[in-house]
Amino acid sequence: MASLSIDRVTKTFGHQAVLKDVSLDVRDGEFLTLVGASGCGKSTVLRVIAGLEPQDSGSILIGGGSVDHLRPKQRNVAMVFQSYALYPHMTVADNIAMPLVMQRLRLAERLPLLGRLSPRRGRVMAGVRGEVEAVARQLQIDQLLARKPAQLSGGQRQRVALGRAMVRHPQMFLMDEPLSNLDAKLRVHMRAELTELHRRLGSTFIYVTHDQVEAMTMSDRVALMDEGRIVQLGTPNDLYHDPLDLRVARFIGSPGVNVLPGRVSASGAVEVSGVTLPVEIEAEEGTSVAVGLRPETLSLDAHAGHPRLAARLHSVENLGAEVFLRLILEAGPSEPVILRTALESYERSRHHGSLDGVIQVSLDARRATIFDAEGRRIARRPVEAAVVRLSVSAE
Amino acid sequence: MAVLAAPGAVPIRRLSSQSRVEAFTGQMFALPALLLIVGLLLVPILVVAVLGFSDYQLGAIEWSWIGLGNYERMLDDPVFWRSIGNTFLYVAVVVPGSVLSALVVAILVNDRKHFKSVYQIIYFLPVTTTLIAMSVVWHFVLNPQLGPIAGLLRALGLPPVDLFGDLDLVLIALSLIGIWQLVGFNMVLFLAGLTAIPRDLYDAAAIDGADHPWDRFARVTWPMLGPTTVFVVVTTTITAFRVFDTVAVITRGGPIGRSEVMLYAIYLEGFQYFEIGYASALTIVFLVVVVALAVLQAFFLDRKVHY
Amino acid sequence: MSALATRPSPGLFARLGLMRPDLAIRAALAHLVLIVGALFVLLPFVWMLLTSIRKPEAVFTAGFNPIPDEFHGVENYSHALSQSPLLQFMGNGVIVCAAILALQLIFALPAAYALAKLNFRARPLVFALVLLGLTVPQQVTALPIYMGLAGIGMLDTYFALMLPFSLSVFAIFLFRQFFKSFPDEIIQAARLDGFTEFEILIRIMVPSARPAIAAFAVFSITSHWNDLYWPLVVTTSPEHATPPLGMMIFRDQETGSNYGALMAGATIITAPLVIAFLIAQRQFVRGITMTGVK
Ligand SMILES: Nc1ncnc2c1ncn2[C@@H]1O[C@H](COP(=O)(O)OP(=O)(O)O)[C@@H](O)[C@H]1O
Ligand SMILES: [Mg+2]
Repeated sequence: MASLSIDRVTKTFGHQAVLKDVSLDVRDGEFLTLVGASGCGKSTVLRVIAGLEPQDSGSILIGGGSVDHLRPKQRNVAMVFQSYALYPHMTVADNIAMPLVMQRLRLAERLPLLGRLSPRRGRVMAGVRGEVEAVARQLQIDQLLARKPAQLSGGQRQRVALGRAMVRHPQMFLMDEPLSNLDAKLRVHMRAELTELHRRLGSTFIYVTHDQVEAMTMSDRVALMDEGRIVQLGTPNDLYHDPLDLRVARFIGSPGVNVLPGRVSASGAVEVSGVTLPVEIEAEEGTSVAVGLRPETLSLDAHAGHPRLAARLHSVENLGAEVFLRLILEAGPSEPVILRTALESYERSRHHGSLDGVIQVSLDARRATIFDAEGRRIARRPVEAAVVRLSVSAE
Repeated sequence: MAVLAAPGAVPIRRLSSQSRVEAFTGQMFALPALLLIVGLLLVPILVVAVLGFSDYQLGAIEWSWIGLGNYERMLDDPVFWRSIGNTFLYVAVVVPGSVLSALVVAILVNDRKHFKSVYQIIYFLPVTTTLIAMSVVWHFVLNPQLGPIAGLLRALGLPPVDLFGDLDLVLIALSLIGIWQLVGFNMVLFLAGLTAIPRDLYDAAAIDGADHPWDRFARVTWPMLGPTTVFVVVTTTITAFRVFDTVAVITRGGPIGRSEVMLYAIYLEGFQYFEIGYASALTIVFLVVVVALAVLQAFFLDRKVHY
Repeated sequence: MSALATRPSPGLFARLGLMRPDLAIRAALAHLVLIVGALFVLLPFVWMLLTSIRKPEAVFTAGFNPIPDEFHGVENYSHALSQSPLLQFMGNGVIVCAAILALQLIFALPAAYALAKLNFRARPLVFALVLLGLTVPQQVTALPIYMGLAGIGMLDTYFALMLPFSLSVFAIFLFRQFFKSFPDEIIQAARLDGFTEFEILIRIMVPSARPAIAAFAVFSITSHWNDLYWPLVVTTSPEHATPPLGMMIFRDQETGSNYGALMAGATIITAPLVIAFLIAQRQFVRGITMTGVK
C-alpha cells in the first residue's frame, strides 16, 4: 500500500504530445479514477506509472520515493488490462502464479527441464500453489484453476486477471478499462464487486475508464483528463456540481448538462434566453458566457425567485421513476434542452394540460454554472459581498 | 388465372427457378476447372500409380505388368536409398537451419526501430530471385580457386575447400544454399506471427517480472508463435523435400552420388533413362511422403491453434 | 534505494535523446547479428555484380582483390547478350508466364465463384478435389503429362510449357476463400437488378477480388518464371527455353571460360523480378508468402 505522486510528467510519441505536464497526487488506499474520452492519454498515464513506457520528463513517486529508475517488476504495482492479457497457453492456475514464479524462482530454475534439477524449486512451487488457491477462492474461481483462458467466459477471465494482480499483494492496482469488454449487466455487477474488493484490500486503486458512470459510482476521487492534461481532480460530487471547466460539465452526467449562451449584464448578472439570472459573477459587462444547467435545475413547477423560461415540448423519455423532457426554448438555441423531473410532477403537469403549447419552465439559478469563452468557470461574487452591497444600497 | 389464384406461389416459384439457375450456372462455372482437375491431376496420378506396377519404358513395344517388381527393385537399388538418405539429410539440415535462423532474424528485426524494412528487403531478396541463376552464382562463389570464400581462406593461410567436390560436405553446401533461399520466406511468416501477438501480453509479462529477454521469449513469444511455427516447419519441410534445382545445376547428383536426391532420381529415371515404370513407382513414394506431411500439418494445426 | 543516486532516471536519457545504456548495447548487438546475416544473404548478389563488371583475366585473382580496378561491364554484358539468346529466353518467360496466369484466372475465377456462392450438387465433391490437389506437387503428374504430350507430338512447344499449370487449384482455393466473405446481399441485389450470374462474376466479383488477384499474380509469375523442372522436362531446343533453362544452356556453353559474361547473364535473368520486388515490395511479400494464408 502506498501513495502515488505524478510530478509534471510529459510524454510524446513522435510529434504527438500525449501527456502535457500531468501532475496528480493519489492518497494511500484511495480509489482514484482517471476518466476521459478515448485517446486522451489515460492508458499512457498508467503505463508510465507502471514503468512500461518511460516518460520524457517529470517523475513518478510511489510511497514518497522516485521509481523512475525502477523497472516494471520492481515497482511492485499490478496492472489489469482491458484485454485481460492472460497467457492463452497457460492454465488459470499458471496465469495467476506467474508473478510469484517470476519473483521467487531464479532464472536457472525457470529454464525448461534444467530448472527441475533445483532442489529449491519444488518447495517454492508448493508455496506458490497454496497462495494461488487462496486467491482463487477469494474470487470464487477455484473450480476453474485447471482450465485455459479460452474455456472461460468474459467475467471469469476478468476474475483471473484480477487474481493475477492480487496474488502478489502489490502496493497499488492499476486498472485499464477492466470492465469495458463485459456485457452491460455483468459490468454493473463487477462495479460493485471491484469497490468491495477495494474496501477489503485497502490498497490504492488507480482505475481508468472512459465511462463517467463507472467513475462516478466507484471512486473516492476522479481526475478528468482531456488531450493529455488533467482538467479537474475532485470527488464525484465536485465534478458533477462544481465543474471548473465546461469540458468537465459536459463529460460528467447523463443525460448531459444543458449549455446555453448568455451575456453578462451591467450589474454582473447573466442574461440567458431572455431572462436575467439572479447571480453576480466576476466578469465585465457584455462578456459572452456559457451557462451550464443540469437537467434537474430545470423544473415544471414554479418556485419563488426562480426565473422562468418559455419553451415547447419536443419529446418525452419516460424511465419509470423519473422523466426526461426535451424542450425547445422560445428564445434560445434550436437544440432542445433536457429537463429531469419526477414522474408525479410530470403526470400532474400533463393532467393539467400545461404541457400543451408554451410551457413555463423554472430555473434554479443558484445551481447554474457559468463559463467564459474558453470554457473556464467564472466565479460568483462572494455572497457576503453581494449582501453588503445590497444593504448599502438599501440605506 | 394462376397468377390471380395464388399470389403467394410467385416467390416460391421464383426461388425454385433461382435455385435451378444457380445449380446450372454453378455446374457450368465449375465444369472447365473440374475437367482440368480430372485431366491434369486425377488421371495423371492414377496413371502414375498404375504404371508403377509395370516395366514400361518410353517407346517400348513390349512391356508387362510386374506387380510390386518396381518396389522390390527399389529396395535393392543403392541409388534409391542414397537419394532417400540424402533427401532426409538435406531436410534435416535445411528445416531447422532455415526455421531457427528465420525465427532469430524475425525477432531481432521486429524489435528494431531503425532499418527494419532494409533488413526485411535484404533477407527476402533470395526468395524472389531465380534459384537457377543464383545456383550458378553460388557455384562460382564457392569455387575453390576463384571464389571469394577461397580468397578469404587463402588470406587466412588455410587450405582451399572444394565444397561441391567433397563427399561429406557437398550436401551441407547444398543445404546452405537452401537455407539462404528460405530464410526470408520464413522470416516473413514469423514476422506476421509476431505482429499478431498482443502488446498487452508483453506488458503483463513485464509487470509480472518476465522482462528478461529469455523470459519474454519463453513465456510469451514462443508459445504464442506455436501455430506459426508448426506451419513454417511443415511448409519448409515440403519445400525441402522437393529440392531439385541446385542439384541439377551444381552437382548433378555428384560427387559419386553423394548429392542424389529423390526428385533428381525421379527426373533421371523418367526423363533421361525413360524408365517410366520405375520412375512412376519412385514418384508414388515421393507423393506418399508429401501427402503424409500435409496430413501431419492439418492434424497439428487443428490441435495447436486452440491452445 | 541506494541505486537511486547512481542510476539516472530514464527521463534523463530520453531528454538527451539517448537510449538506456543496457538497451543501447542490446540494440547494437542485434544490429551486429542482423548485419552479419545480411552479408551472408547478399554475398552472392554482390559477387555476381562485381564479377559481371570484371575483366576475364582479373577473375582469377579476384579473391585477393574483390573490387575490380577496371570497368569491363559493357564487354561482359554485350558478350552475354550476343553469345546466347538471353533476351529470347526472357521473352519466352514473359509469354509463358502471362499465358499461364491468364489461363489460371480464366478457369479459377468462375469455379471459385461457383464454389463460394452457388449451390449445386457436385459442389462438395469439386471442393474436396481442390483440397486434395493442394497437396500434390507438380512433379508427381509430370511423367504422364509428358507422355501424353509426346503422344500427340506437342513436346517442346509453348503449349507444353503451359499445359500442366493452366489450372491452379491454389487459385481456386484462394479466390473461393475471398469470395466466401463477400456479402450475399450485394449478389442478391444484383440478381434483382437483372444481372446474370456471368455478369455478377465479371462486374462484381472479379473487381472486388482485385487485391487477391494481384497477390496471386505475383505468386504465379514468380513461381513460373523461376521454375526449372518442367521446362527441363519438355523443352529440348533453345527456341522455347524459359529463363532458368536458358541459364543452364548458357552456363554449359561457357564452361569455365568467361565468368564475367556468365555473371552478367545471371544478373540479366534475375534482374526483372528483383527490380519488380524492389518497386512493389509489399505486394511481392504478400503474393509470395500467400501460401501462408492457407
Ligand atoms: N506506443 C504508441 N505509439 C504512438 N502513439 C501512441 C502510443 N501509445 C499511445 N499513443 C497515442 O497516444 C494517444 C493516447 O493514447 P492512450 O493513452 O492509449 O489513450 P486512452 O487510453 O485515453 O484512450 C493516442 O492518440 C494514441 O494514438
Ligand atoms: Mg486506453
